[in-house]
Amino acid sequence: METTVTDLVLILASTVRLSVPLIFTALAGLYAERSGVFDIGLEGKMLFSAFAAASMAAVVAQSPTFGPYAAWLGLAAAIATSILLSLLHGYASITQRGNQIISGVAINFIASGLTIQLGNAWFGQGGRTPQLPNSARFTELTLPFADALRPVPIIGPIYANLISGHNILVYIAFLAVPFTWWVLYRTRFGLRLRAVGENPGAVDTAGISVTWLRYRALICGGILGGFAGTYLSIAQSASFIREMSAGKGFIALAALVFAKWRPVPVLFTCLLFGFLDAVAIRLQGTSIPGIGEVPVQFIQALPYVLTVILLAGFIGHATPPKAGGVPYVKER
Amino acid sequence: MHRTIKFLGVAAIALMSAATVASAADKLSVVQVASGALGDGGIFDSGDAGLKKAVTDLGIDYKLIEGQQRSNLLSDFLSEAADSGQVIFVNPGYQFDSFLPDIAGQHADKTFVYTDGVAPGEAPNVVSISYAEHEGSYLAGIMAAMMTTRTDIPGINDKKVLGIVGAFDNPVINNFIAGFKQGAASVDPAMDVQVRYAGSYTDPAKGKELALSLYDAGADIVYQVAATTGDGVILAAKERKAWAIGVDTDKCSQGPEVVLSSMIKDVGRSYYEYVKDYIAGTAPKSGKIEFGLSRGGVGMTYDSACTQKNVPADVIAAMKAAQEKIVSGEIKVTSTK
Repeated sequence: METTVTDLVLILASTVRLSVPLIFTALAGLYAERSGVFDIGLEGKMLFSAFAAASMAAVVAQSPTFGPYAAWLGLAAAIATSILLSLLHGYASITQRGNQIISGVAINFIASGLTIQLGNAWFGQGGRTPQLPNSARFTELTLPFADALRPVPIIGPIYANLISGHNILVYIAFLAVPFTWWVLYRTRFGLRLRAVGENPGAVDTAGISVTWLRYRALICGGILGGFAGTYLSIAQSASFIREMSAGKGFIALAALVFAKWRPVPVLFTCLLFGFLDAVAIRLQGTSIPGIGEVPVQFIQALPYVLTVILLAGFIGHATPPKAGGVPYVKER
Repeated sequence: MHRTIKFLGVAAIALMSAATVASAADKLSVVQVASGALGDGGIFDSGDAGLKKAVTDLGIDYKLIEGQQRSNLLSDFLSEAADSGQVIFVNPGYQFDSFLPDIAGQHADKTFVYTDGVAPGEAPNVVSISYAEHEGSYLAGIMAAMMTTRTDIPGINDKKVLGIVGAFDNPVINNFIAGFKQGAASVDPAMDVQVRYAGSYTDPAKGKELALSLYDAGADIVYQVAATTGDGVILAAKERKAWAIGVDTDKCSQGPEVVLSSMIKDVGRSYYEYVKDYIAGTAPKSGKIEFGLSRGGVGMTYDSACTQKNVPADVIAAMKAAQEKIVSGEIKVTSTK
């Protein structure tokens, strides 16, 4: 009983760690897409901000004045970078009314190439950034009483391993979900944001600038994208590595569709994806009675297979924001 | 407009061929076609370092072409390399299997060096270099198995469990694993070596989770055979205050407090030696060369600060003794390639 609880807690803790970048990124996409701007460039924003965070942290890590704040400065650099890319996306697709998909794909290419190029020019390590000391990273926090409670049955391991023992960005990710819900459904900005994604003409008639509203939505998405990148490079890892986003931006996009563009379902979908990944990791090398050891390739494919099954079988009809993907033109 | 473009194109081609002719006149020109890119802390970086050393020591001309994992373009990169260089290193060879024989046939005057395995077909101008990863990993296995029961060392538990994080379930990675298992079994046949695959060479987050799952399963030492995915293993070791073994290049700087030692696969050294022999006229231009423990193609980092500090002297002595026996042929390590 005790070991089952411990095992389960370890899988759930792994789930939490794996789903955090998905949560941030899917929420970033939620702001953009609810305002009517499709955001294929999430992957690129995550990658570029991961690079920005790691570079900034590496540069200031040794400085006596800024060293203690290296991780936070890294986060700031990541957010600034991600906002800049969002504004680029906005300029192309809102101001210039370009195709949103193409603009997003372009951002992904820019991020993939430029991070390596800049990294090589600045640090000369083939595109990676220098290894960061723990003082320049977001490291695991131990909540009060975690060690004292550990021996308590059931509650002990849950508190000590699942709730405590994560870095601060993990807690921010989980707070970002209710915050986004509150912004979207309980503020005037949120109401207008949802409206502009469904019927920008009506918003315009009410005398509210569609352009400015969509830009603001993209900036919100940019901020969250910066958190996602920071988590990848200086919380989960200790340096930037080329292509380290490894498709997470696209998985987050799938999660967003799966959750039908709503914040709370986004949380659960990302947790589900993280859970499938965590289970796949721990299933390796175990044998199932009667079948023997399961081939690694099958276990590695399992999260994707289950995703397709769940997407096809359980999601039902997903209706994207009505005005999504369409640049707004006054007076046709 | 069209004319201008045509003219520019012709001019560019003329310039490029002029440059090739000029350099080919006096120096040996060498090209490395890497399927991935530098910064892997592994075979690409190592090969690059070896050839750069050859540039300074032996005065060759060296050009690197990075494939950046775009496998659809590799045949173009290889053709380009064959046009511009005399000796072409393809790294790693198996990614070029489907078109190497054709391109080598078209460039009979050039020499192709197939890295990490044996080239398909028997072309007269393709030479294969393979590395005895299993021999080096055998030593790592001895080290891990000897240390995993010494509970007086911090971070070591009493369980006879060791872990390996591999990038992919493929013949090269599995050869590392096979050697490690044989080495561990030579110390204690009851040793439990658990293997997890990441399915990626460039996903440190996945590597970290895999390593954490191994530490949770009772492993106290994890051997990483996973390029940059393996960086995550070293991070996980730091978090759990346990131990890791590096691979390909010396990984000590990533975690001096958790890296026991590294099993080096010295692609650069083999490239350097080959170029040296080629200039001397003694290098074979076809067939197979094996770089094992005896030629320094693989080996443990005995001199690394990590090994000196973290590995007990008797364990180092045991590894060195086993190394001598492998070189002399007294111990046979089975390869799975």
